[in-house]
Amino acid sequence: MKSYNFFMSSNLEKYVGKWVAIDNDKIIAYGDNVKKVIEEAQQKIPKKRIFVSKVPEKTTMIF
Amino acid sequence: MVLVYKYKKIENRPINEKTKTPLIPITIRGNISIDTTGIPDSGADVTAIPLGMAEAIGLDLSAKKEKCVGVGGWVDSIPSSMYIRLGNEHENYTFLIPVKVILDKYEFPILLGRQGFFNQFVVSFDESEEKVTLKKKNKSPKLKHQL
Repeated sequence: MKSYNFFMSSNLEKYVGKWVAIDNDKIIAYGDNVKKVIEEAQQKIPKKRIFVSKVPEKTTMIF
Repeated sequence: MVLVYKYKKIENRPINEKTKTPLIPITIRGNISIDTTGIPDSGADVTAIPLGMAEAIGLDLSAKKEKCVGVGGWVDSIPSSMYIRLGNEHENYTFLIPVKVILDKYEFPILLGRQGFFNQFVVSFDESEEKVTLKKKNKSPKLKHQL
């Protein structure tokens, strides 16, 4: 929940539309490809569970 | 007991508004577990996950492709399943849910659909307070599984 709380409370405007991986209140990987972001984060913190989420787009979402 | 989550807000400077999205913290598991977020989507029959995330956590992708339809039209998908956990320090729930792995270039956030998710909770949206509330239904099965 710590990484989720950081994700929810932080200004992530520069990462809009990107996938971000977070550990210890820091963004440790980001990009457009979620698989690559997860793999990069796993290399940086191999023994920990990754938190990764997509920063919502500014455009209107209709799912 | 209820689980309450605030919306994620992103400044949208050109039109001086904020984009607000209900994002629920979840842990998902295939061969490995990751923490992520999901958007509760009452219009989705089933939970949808992008291919890259499904591959990263090692979901079974051996089933035959199926067509799904959304606002963007028809898209190929692979039916699979995954464990999902959500909750807080006081209560948490783990379920095995069906998912559609969407074979499309656009990597959307996980969409939490009705089958397997909405039938576990009473889901309420409060747009003015910018929060979503999940109240566990008593009769739905609770699965114990280590994520």
